[in-house]
Amino acid sequence: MTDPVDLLKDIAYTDESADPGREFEEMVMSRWRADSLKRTAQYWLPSALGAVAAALALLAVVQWTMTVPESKQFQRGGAEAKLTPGTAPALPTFTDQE
Amino acid sequence: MAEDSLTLTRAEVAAEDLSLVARIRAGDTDAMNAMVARHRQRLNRVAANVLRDRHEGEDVAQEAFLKAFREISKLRDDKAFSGFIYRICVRLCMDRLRSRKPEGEIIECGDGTNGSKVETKILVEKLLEFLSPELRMTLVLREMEQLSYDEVADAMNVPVGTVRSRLHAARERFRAIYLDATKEAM
Repeated sequence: MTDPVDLLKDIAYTDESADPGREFEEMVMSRWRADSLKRTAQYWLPSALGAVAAALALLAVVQWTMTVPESKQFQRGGAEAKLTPGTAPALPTFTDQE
Repeated sequence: MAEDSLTLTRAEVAAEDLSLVARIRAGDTDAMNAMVARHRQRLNRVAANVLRDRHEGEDVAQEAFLKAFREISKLRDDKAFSGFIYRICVRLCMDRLRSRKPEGEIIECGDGTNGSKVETKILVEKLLEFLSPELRMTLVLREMEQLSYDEVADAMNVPVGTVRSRLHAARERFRAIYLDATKEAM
């Protein structure tokens, strides 16, 4: 009876029997491209999210600074209404004194 | 003489690997393609032999290439790409074997002498499932891949003494389960 361990050699795959052919290279390269894209996205995603958050914050600040002076101007305008020349009493003028 | 030509071939292979690795480091996809073409057969063969499944072997071989390209910065000697990717492939195969669920009963498939070649093949493949991943890998690398003890030790990243003891244990266990399976059928 043959040694069972020797049977392993008989069932071993060879280079030819296990070779998937040229499409294997294409598969590897396509997986590599997908993998690279994923890693690039993973690398830049935190920065992109940070940039979007910063842009939104900046926009909010700009909007706030544009609305705040308008309300201040309204208050100051109300106070100055009493001092405008239009509100001073009209003085009489005498033209026939000569 | 034959050994000289073999040495020369290995030196040539290493020299070509050296230039390809330099190009891969620079992100050259043509060099990656060329590297895949050079090592495709060997990796597919070892993965298929270990996992006993050509399609799963193909998947693991592809993963090994991707991992090797990603981790190429860890490669200290650019001439040693062949061993580097082989070790990665062996490690990935070990992970697959560890993640497999253990098999149930041993199938009875003739006595191995009277049965057809196909029956013997099925029996032997089934019996390999009963070895632990470490024993199975050692046995396959030595008996199917015909690697030397040193090469098995290098591929599995263990001392040569461990390879010897594992190989002894694997052979004994394999013979025992083979005899059990064939005795029951007789």
